[in-house]
Amino acid sequence: MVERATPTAMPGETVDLSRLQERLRSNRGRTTLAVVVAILGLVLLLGVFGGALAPHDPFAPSLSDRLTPPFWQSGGSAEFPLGTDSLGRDILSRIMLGARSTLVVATAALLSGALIGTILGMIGGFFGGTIDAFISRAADITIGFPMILVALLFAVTVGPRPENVVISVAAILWARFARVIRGEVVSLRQRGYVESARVSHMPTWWILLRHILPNILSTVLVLASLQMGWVIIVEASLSFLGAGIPLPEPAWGAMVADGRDYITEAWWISTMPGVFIVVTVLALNLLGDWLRDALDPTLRVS
Amino acid sequence: MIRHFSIRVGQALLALLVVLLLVFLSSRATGSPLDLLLGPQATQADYARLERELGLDQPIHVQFGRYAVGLASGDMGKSLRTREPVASMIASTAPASIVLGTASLAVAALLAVPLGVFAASHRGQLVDRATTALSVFWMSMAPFWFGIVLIAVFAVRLRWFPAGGNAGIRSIVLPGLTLALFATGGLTRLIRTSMLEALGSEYVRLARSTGASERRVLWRHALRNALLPAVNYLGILFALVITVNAVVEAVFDWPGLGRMVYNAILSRDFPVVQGLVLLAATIAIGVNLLVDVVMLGIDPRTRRG
Repeated sequence: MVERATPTAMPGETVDLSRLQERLRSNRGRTTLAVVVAILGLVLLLGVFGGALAPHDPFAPSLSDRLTPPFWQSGGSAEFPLGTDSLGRDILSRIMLGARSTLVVATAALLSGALIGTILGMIGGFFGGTIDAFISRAADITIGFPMILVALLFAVTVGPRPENVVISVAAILWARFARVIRGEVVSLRQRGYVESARVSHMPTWWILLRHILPNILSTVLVLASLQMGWVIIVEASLSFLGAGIPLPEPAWGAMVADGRDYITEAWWISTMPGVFIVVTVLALNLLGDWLRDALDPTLRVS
Repeated sequence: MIRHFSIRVGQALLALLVVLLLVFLSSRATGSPLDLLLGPQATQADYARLERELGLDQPIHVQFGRYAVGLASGDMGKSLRTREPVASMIASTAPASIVLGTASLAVAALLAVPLGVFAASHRGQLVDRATTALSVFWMSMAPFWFGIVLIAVFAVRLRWFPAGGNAGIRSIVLPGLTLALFATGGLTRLIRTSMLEALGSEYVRLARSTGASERRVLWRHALRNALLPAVNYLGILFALVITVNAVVEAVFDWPGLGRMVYNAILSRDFPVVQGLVLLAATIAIGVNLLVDVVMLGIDPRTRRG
């Protein structure tokens, strides 16, 4: 590890970037990382600019072009590189616009779940006692419960809405964060610098913010990247079941569902958006694994 | 022991009550459940009649009491579409789901245990790296999409297996494979990790020092202990399988509870969705309770506060 510039800094006071740099300098897994970052960069680009860059109007039906195969098959054309769907809409354009709704919903769910889970995990781990027992047990029950069903229930009562996906995903996700963060905080509490801050009557919020939070940030980061892939799959599954992002807004999961009825004549309608889902999730999982190995070797066991 | 057991049962009952309240309130979240039940063409008279019939003119706690008592006697309401009682619909569709779920979980366990053990005992070697890569791949796979790709390849192009429905043993292959492979990824990873932990422990070193064969150490001493976290994980796995099962059944048109919930969502058949959500929640809470109790029985460490 690189020696710190300020000798007064307490150990692990900040996110340990030196370890990240060290890992980046070593050659292990660098090619994979480059590919992964390139893929995620592209997806992010699609999410932000996808609608503007789309070569065709993602909503405009064109019956004369319906069920055009991708360009490499006979009957396909460069005009619709990934083919068209049953209404003649360009699949590539719909995937590009769909990236946004998929990413927005997944990010919102991840952020709210991570925020609630981190706060509850910090509270439970730091204060212990009854409140800790309550939070831990609630997390146990949540993790073993198919919370997706709540989204299904919402879908038939309130109607399919993106907010429902965010709420029900966050309702599961918080527990995954709370569990890990709680464990970290319990061990951090016994560190010398936290003890000394406590005996010198620092306010609790100050200790949590100044001494605990910076030390768990790398764990939160690793967990977030590992969970993001899972969140995208859940979001896509809900859209597939008709309980997620409502039509006609293109979402990757709903596009896969769209093509199901045409699987005998037009395999590409379902396949293309699915490839984007799987590649994105795979890249996120690989990034998460890499970050975990680089930042926090202790997480490797769990 | 008895105290821990009763605490766990109490917590499970509490969780069930919360779910019950949630399901009950969800029908009232958008105002009157009559809107959901009657549809747009209903007249004032229809509303008044159904309101009395369902007891919706009563205070809310009386309504909840009636709802709970009705459930206890097996009354889950009637489907809006077919007018059939939800309970009997569930009874007639459940076997198909149980067959699919059990078969897939069995295949997953048969694949994951040897894979996890081999990967752990050949740590860092090709087997290990291949297994790890494969399980990351499976954890990244969207099960509904994988199912559709299987249909496109094996049903439409090669015509080896039927694309959907349940007509004979060949029908279960594709949906079963989708569900099984999905469960295998996480399970393999878990068994590999806990095998690695077990292999580095005192009792394995002790077993080795007594001259036990490597095979005996691996499959008897280490695996037995490594399976403990796997049992613990079963509760979580079950919750996941219930969710994925709905998706897989919808894809393969498998005539089980998953397809039933899918169709009910499409037709806004509220009582059916409500009944199935309640059923799934009860099963999940029950499985988790069972896992807890089994763990209490086989692992004395869990008995401590």
